[in-house]
Amino acid sequence: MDWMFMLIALLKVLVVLVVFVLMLGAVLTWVERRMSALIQDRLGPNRAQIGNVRAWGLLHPIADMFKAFTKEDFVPAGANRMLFFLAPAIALASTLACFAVIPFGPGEHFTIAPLDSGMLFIIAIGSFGIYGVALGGWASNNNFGLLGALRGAAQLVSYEVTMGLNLVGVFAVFGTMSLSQLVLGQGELLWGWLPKWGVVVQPVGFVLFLIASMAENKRAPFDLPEGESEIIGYFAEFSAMRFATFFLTEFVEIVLIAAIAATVFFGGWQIPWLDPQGVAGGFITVAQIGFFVFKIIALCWLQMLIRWTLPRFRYDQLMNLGWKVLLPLSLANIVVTAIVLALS
Amino acid sequence: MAEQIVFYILATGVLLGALAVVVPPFARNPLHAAVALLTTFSLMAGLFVMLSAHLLAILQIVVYAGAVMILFVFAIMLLNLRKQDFSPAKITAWKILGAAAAFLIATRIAMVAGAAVSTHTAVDLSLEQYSTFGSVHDVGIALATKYLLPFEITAILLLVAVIGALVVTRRQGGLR
Amino acid sequence: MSDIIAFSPVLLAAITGLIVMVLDLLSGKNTHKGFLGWVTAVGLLASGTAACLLWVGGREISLPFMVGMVQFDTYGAFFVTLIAIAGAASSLLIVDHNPEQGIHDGATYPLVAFATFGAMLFVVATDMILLFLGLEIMSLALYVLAASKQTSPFSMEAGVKYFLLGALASGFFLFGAAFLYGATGSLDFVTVGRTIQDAAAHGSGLSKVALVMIIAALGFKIAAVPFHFWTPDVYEGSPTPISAFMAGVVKAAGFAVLARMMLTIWGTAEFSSGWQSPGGILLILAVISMVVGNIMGIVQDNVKRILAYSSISHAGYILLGVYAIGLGEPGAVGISLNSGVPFYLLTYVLATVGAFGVLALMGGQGHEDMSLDSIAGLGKRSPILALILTISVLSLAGIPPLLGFMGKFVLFKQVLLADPDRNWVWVVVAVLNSLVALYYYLRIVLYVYFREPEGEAAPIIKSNAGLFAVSTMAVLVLLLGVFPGKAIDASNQASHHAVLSITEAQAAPAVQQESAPTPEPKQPLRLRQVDGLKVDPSHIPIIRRAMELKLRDSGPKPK
Repeated sequence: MDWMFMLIALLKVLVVLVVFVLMLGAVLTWVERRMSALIQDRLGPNRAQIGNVRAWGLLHPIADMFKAFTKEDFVPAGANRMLFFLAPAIALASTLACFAVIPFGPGEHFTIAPLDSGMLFIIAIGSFGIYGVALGGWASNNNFGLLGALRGAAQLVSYEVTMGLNLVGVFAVFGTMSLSQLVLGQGELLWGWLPKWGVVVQPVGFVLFLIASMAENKRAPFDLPEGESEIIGYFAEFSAMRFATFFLTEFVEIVLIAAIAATVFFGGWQIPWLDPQGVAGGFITVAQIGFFVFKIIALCWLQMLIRWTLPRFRYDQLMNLGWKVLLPLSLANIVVTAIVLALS
Repeated sequence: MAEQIVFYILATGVLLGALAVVVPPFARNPLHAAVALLTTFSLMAGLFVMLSAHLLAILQIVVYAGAVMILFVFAIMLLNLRKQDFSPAKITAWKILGAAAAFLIATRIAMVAGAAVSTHTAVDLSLEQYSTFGSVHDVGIALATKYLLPFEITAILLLVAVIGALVVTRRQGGLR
Repeated sequence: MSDIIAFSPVLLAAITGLIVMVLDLLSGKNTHKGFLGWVTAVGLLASGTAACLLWVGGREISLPFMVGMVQFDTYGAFFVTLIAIAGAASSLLIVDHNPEQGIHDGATYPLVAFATFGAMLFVVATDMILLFLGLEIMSLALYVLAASKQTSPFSMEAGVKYFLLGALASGFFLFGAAFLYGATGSLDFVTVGRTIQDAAAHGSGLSKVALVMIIAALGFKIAAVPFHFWTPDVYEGSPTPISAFMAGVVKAAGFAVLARMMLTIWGTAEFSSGWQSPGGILLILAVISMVVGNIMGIVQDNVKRILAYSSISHAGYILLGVYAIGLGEPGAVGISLNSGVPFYLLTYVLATVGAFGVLALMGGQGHEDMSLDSIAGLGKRSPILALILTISVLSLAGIPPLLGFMGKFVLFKQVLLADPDRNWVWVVVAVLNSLVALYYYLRIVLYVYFREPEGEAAPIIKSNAGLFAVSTMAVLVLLLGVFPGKAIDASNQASHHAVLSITEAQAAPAVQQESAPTPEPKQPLRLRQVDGLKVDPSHIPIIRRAMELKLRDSGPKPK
């Protein structure tokens, strides 16, 4: 019994992480480059090929993987080897672990670990990601890396508060912190026609959450810890697979944010207005999972679009935005939500 | 059985991590010590999970790993302390005496606590109590009813801390 | 509503802090913030007044009043009033310290108010969570206040030292509370005490560990030897009004809680039997505090350090009082706080705040040195300050007819009465110590009146607020010294409630737990009246238990 349980859990992990998340992350690296090229009126990467198959450059991620594995694994002089080794691992692992509580479909079978306080788990485990940034920058014995790490730590700590607070409103509305309960709650219809999605009952919360979580992901317009154009970020000294790990983490985080947002604000696997009568149950389940994946991909696309169309912030603007705009707004959001809930 | 194995792994990790925070070869590097402390905190959360105090475990990680330790790391990085900034460890008579005293007291406390634990009987929770024990809902209710006063007074504690931080860090002649 | 009324003295202090904070913000950057000191003082005095009013008694509320984790009783009211007076005096002393002297005007007053609030909460709490919160609010504000004179490296040193050791002490306190919780499964004093005293028969080791930890933590706050090392440095380095606050408020609050915790939790009849009993530990601390404090006081040349060591030795006297619980004559058992303790704290706080207050009004404009030289000739430069300093110092020394004499007299008498067979030794030690202490107190007076300043004398700050504060202290010391009756009555009443007892609300669930409720004896227990001590009926269960234990243990030992 125990072994069966372990085996099934392992299988779920494999399917979710390797087949879905990592694949999607890899494809996203290509999407990002193609999309930025389109936005900037270029062609972008399209030449990797096996035999005569080019597939619009979709093979680039595979080529990149081979490149990352075969490049020299360089450790700078004076680097702290242990932490240098640990940092990328912490970054990727903490991000991947968050997928454990995301419900991909109805019922417990489609969640790796159905926890009662799943959202808190994500916030808790996600906060380990900071260590990847901070330790990585410090361990590489490089002042630019250290600067990036300091900026990263400050930025992540600042925006984590907003990110967490904006989920409180949703918790209050649906009265639960369990993600599967949240999704179930969003299956209802308001006034008979409007799906009671998180984004409908907590629009401000969603916008703030998206902003804060994009800042958590350290991508433009919040890319100061990486700072391609100004200082080189916390992974400046990382090469080969270690760099690839950081790089992949960034894209996995995009998927994670999309998955959280889809679960909490867009009804998870719920398909609104769906009348299940007369359709085989298995088919509906597949459709629901498919719809959830579709939501995730759409939200990934939204993040890409934002990343390539907005100019970046200055550092002081970033901090002002976080502490003086987003934080008060999210507190106000909670207060208003609480009042409305108390009145209704 | 499996639970015991997990417990011993976690407990060993907690103790080793805590030792690594203070015992010289590892603790010479402040960041290493910080990482060791982080390990201790995280594994402690694992122990809480085994006691089915899930919320406590998560809070342990959010508060200690996510907030407290990252500030430690931040401060260490800002100061940018490296090994050469520390004088080599010297073993003095005071340290030996202190270590001996600490050892004696620790063993004494361990004995006393062990004796106390062995005489304690386990508390029987009903199934209903058990299912909600340590849940967000229960803790929330407790905070808003029985522990409302301490909960609110904590706000004043935080306020004092904020004012204090402002006073200590203000620039000379800046604020009046 | 009555909850809020009963909690109002403590609440008023917090509200004062908030109001002062907002006023600071509203009054703009360029105003002189001195008026905030008055606001703080008025607010704190209002909270003291509220405590007195509750004591005198209204129609709705009679003390003791229990609200959840807070019990407001005569003991609480006594100390809240005392703390309010000392806090208000300290905030008035800050008024004319200008920014060049380093105390940051705007933010200082709310911190003082909050520290006072923390101290009050500390005193009235009956639950260890709340107790710890009070302790931390008080300490956190004081760490900052100690370091608030940013131009002075000594102040920084004081802040850091106080913070590091204070954090350690808080850690000890937490450990102690955790062990108590582990031993008894409760955080409430009364429940903890009941459980421990029930378990005393089969020796609860955890509670002894907790005892040591809590004595260490509170010993730090009250500056008892050997937890005193920070005291001279911190009192010297901190801005002097803050030293006054620490020496007055913190010590009063620390002792109030120490006495209450010790007697409520460990207050069996064997409280002070043998070296390993709780009282025995306190006795050892008391004796070495007196001796070390006084001997070290002799060799100091800095007035603030002298006063610091004086405060250490006073901690010793008061600890002696806590040790000698109100057992009364041998045979008559009633665990109550020695009624000399609250009264002695009153005398000590008034005098020490007055003495530090005078020092706070000297030495400004970056004048750091508070050596004996710098106060030389004060008698000619400012007769009134000199007089106040003399009154305060002589009161600390215990010269009649000042309040300090009455304090020592009542305290030592009570200690002696508690157990004449054994305690006379300690009373003799204490009296001898007071004689030794006379040396350094008189030395201050000597310098003030009979020496000419050799170097640069400390300048005197013109401050109506400060003068008002210190002269009030001096007047109180004089008046109460001559007419101590009311104050002694008050402290008698206060000491009756020092040992928390089981109120009806708590007793109800406890009955269910007991498998076989012991039948209450029909006839009320007869207790001998000890020195005007009237026994609160609610104390009878504890007293009875203490008697049983005493009877069981004393055996056929011939007297």
